[in-house]
Amino acid sequence: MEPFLALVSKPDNVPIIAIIFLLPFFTWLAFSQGRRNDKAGTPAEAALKDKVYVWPYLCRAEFLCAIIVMLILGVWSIALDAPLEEMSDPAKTPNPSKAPWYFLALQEMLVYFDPWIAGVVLPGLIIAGLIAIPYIDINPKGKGYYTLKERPFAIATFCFGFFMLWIVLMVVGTFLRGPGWNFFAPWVKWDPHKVVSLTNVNLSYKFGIRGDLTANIFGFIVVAGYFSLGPLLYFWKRKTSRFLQELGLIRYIIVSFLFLTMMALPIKMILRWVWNIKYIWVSPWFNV
Amino acid sequence: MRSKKEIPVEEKSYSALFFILSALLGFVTLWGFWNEAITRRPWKAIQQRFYQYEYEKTKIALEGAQKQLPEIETPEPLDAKRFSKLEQNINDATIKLDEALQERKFLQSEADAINYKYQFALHHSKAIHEKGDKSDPEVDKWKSRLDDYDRQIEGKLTQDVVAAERTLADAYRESASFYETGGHIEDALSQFLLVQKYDPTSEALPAKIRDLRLQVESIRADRTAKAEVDKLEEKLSSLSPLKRSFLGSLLESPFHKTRSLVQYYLEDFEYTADRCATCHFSVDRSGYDRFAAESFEVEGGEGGQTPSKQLMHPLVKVGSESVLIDDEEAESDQYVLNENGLLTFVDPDIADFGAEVEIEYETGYDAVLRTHPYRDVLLGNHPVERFGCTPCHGGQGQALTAQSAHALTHAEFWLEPVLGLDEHTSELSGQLSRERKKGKRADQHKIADLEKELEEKRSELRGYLYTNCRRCHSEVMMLDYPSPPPETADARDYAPDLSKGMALFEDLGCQGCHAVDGYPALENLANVGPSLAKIGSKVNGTEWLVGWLKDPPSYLPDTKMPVFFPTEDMSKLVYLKNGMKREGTVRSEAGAIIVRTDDGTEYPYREDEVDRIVDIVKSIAAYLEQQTDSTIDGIEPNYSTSSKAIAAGEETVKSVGCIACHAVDGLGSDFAPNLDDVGNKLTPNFLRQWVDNPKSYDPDTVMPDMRLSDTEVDNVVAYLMSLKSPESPAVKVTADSYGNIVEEIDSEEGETLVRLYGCFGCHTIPGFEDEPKVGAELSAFGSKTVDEFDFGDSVGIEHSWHGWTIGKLTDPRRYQTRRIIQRMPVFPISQEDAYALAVLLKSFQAKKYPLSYIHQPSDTLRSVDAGRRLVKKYNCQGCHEIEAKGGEYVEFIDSQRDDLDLNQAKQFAPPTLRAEGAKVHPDWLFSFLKEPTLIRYGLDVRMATFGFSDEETTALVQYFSALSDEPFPYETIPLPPTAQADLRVGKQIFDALQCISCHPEQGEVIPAGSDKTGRPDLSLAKGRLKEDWLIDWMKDPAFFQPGTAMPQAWPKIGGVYQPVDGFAIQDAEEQIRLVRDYLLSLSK
Repeated sequence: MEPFLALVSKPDNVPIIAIIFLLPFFTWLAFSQGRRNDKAGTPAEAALKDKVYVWPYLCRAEFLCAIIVMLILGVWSIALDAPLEEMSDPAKTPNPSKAPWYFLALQEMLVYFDPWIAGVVLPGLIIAGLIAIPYIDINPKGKGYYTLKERPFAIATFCFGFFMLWIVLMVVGTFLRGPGWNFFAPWVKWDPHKVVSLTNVNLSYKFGIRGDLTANIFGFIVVAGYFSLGPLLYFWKRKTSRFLQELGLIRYIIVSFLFLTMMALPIKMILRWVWNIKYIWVSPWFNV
Repeated sequence: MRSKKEIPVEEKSYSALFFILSALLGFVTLWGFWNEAITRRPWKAIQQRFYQYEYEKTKIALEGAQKQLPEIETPEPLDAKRFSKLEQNINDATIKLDEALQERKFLQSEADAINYKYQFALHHSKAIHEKGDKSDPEVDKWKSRLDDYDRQIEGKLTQDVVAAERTLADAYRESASFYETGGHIEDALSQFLLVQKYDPTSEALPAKIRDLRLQVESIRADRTAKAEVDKLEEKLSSLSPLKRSFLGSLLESPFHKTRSLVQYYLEDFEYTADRCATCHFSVDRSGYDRFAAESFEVEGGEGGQTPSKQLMHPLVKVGSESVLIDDEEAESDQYVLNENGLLTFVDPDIADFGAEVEIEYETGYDAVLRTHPYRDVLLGNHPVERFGCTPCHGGQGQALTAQSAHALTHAEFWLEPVLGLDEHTSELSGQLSRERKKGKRADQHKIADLEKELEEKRSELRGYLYTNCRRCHSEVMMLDYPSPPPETADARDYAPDLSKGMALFEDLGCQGCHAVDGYPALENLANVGPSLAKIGSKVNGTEWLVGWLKDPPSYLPDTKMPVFFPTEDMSKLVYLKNGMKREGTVRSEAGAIIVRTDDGTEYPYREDEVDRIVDIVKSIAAYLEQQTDSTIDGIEPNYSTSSKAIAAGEETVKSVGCIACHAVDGLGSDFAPNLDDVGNKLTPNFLRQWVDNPKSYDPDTVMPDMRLSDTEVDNVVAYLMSLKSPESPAVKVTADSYGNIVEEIDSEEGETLVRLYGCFGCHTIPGFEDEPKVGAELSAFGSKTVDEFDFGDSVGIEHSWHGWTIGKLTDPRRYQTRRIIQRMPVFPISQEDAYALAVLLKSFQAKKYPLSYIHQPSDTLRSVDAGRRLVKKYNCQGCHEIEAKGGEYVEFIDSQRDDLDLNQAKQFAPPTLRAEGAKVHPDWLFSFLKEPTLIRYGLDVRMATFGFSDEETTALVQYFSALSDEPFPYETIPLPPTAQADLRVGKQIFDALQCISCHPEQGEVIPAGSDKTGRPDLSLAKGRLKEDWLIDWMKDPAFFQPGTAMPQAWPKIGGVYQPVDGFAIQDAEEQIRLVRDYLLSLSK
């Protein structure tokens, strides 16, 4: 436990410890206000009609905030030194080699995906997806007030994608990944000689396919099926629903693609943990 | 009242909040400054402490100097009136002298002109009158005028000048006496010198001047002492209170830089910036050594006060001192020493005797402010401006906190920890500083305990400080320069643990299995073990070989041969029918074959699963037995068993010099194998060839040829074959069986096993010449981190580089597990040996230092080093004392002969080789080493024929030249031929000294027990001994050979050699020279 406490108290980890407390708090704040609004029918924010001038009434409050932030930053920077590490030496890399805390979720993805997918394609899609949100989110509700009921899909997707796949993986990467990127429970000493069984096979192998070309084709079919069958089925069943009607075909394809890409991570994690599946689609150029 | 929420934003006041926040921000800003200037600059406090020490020290030095300073009398100013009158006198006399000189000059120049005319006339007249015998009136005229002038000049005018000089001299004399009586000695001296110039005839003057000169010298010495005191006073005032105070560090630093970083920037050394001297402020300043010694005469004690003495250092660790009063150890109740260095004597009368006191003590300065040990040598040869600190010490030079500068493994910015510290010392020093910070609440006992523990741990790791020495000085065996090379026992090895580690590494033959980059000496090392090329003909049957391979120390307890099979039972190779194999001990139990591997795991197999079982040791022995030689085996083994032959052989072995290397009957050395049980080991045919001519058996052996006659060889063989220890374990080599399976002894498997275990690393085995080394490469072993070590299942091993390495060296199989099999054999090394080896291993670093920093040894050093290696290789020091080491052979002789004391035994022992390079001619030494000749008759012990190569012989000759600081190559300058008369005198002295009563005459046959035994034949001096050395030798024989029987014929009394009486020549040096010349004429 002692090494874990030392890890938690490292100056490097101040932001991530703060996140662990701040995120639930603000989520709870937003959720409770949303539930209150949903219960009341009309948002409480609608009652605030009174307005004041920016100068001086807003500016003075902002100025006070600025002083508080400066105070915090001042004390922080005096009390805790910048977390530098040893001089870089290609012959002696640190073990574990960790990215900055805000990239640790990406690094965690490297365990389950090809570097090319985890390091380039998925981060690219995350950015592209964030850019696309204003264009694919056509729900006009929930602007200027808190609500849960009126935006269930958006909120659920955000909570899963951000909290589970980004924050949790980041915390895991920071505190629970030790030498050799092995998983260590908090009470376990980080042993650089820890050995874990890491013999994994590709999905095609599990299905008895041994040829390279056939495995390639098999993988393509599975991946293509994953991205097409679900959306098609959902579309065929619910094509008359108001939601799909408003969304339109193009937006539906984009949303379903992004959503399925996001869900690919937990799916691959489960495949790895339960069936020791390494890749689903192995091709000479990339692996998925 | 409205509640807070009800107040409209416009009416709310935030001034209180704003005030508080602004005050806080102001406070944080100030805190930031404080943090930057004080908290993050802890060295300021250390430098402040230094200035405090320096102040105290200067004060003590000043007080001491002031006490020593004699009264300097400032002479009274002179009586101005009389002074000016004397000046006037001198002036007048000078003018008079000038006038007289001027007068003479006028006439002189006129005389010169007339001389010209006279010469001219003379030449002219000669030209006219060929013969020139006729007088010429013109010539006569000029001649008489010239004579006239010269008379005048040499007569009156010169007398005038002399008279004027005397007057001037008198004037100066008067003034000089005036100065002298007035106390102005220096001026008086300069005046008297002028008197001497103008009146050289004065007789009393020289004595006067000598006297004044002495006075002036003493005045000047006083003045220098005064200047010293002034300097100290100035220094003391420069160490102002501000500089020594904490406030000073705040106030002064921005303006005067009294507290600043000290940085050594080494552009050539990979742009290293070392700031260590910021805290280790006095590392390159003298006077802060850990240990100090002083000697003085006790003074004071008047007026009822007890005599006391302030020591040089203001801080003393009380209890560390040892005090000698008049060369006697003082009792602790005779004096009182306090922490500030005041030594008070209890006996008030001690000063009356003027007692001489010598005191050694430990100073109490903080460790961080100590002077570098051996600063003169170590920093003198490695100036910090060029070498910095971290290239030698490791650590992180830029860092400014102790923790990260010393870069201990859990420091923030870990690079390489400073040498000599590790995780444990860091932990301890952390605890210590935490405890000290508690101030008054600190537990003094705990602090003392921690200090003690830390000191112990540090001294345990101190050897690692030497590791980096080798990174620049990799070529030499020992770091004991600077030159001149030492020939005395007190020569200091500056890296003792490292030298010891290198010696062990090379002696144990680590290089046989492990490759190391950057260790040039390894390339030329011979195999550690004997050649196994003809082992089958050498050893007496497989039984001995099996017993030896299984457990070498049971035959030779001191052997270097490691134990490869530490398990009790013989190790087997078990081949299974499924193609796998297991190695371990085997037993059969109820039809099952159980294989127990080295780590203790047991693997049971059914008998029908086992294909075959091969015995490892027996198979290796069987393979080696096949390496035979027909010239040895071809002869019928035959040796005498008669007690007479055995006794004669024993006599030979114990007298000719065998025991300088071998031991037998508890006598002798452990350089070569012990012979007590040799009869069980070797075949007589091998022994005969080996004793007769070792190189014919193995051309690379270091065993020399003792030039024994055939009869002696036969006797020695008879004796050695009779040496059979009854306890020698008789191993019966039979094939064991397990259940229904009989093990195999398979020589082909043996060959594979030889390859697997790497026997060829130490032994020459035909067919294995090009095999790669079997061990791990060690080139970068020192830079391994703890993470890179596998500690296996071991418990109780410290998880650090040090811990792993010591563990591995003391028990190489320690870390093996069920998964990892280890084959490194177990060496006979103690904990201390392992530590020395670890120090060496730590120096094997991947990173190479810049070429410009690599030490290039001088020719002398190279010669010394090459010579030392040869001396070690051939065990020259078994017989001879070289560099004040070795020469134990004389002790064997002493122990064998009751009638001699150690000095007398030297007559019968191999000679001491002190100053050998100065003693003998290199040419002679070369041929002697190649082929020894008789110099001292009647001795049993003899110089062996080693069969040195030309290179080795030259290297040895160079070595001895270098040790004696003699030039090489040496140019012999022949002495001028000596006159027959001189030779006669030389012979007379030679006879008078009765040299021949001890030294043999040319070709004299010495009867047994003669007193001339072991004394050199003097007729061999020419060509052998250096001419200058002979003179030095005769002057003082004991200097070259302490305890020699050679008398000092010209005793030195009062620094002068006394001549032998009864000769016309009464100069000792001349007498010695004549005897030397006579000696050199004695050549055959």
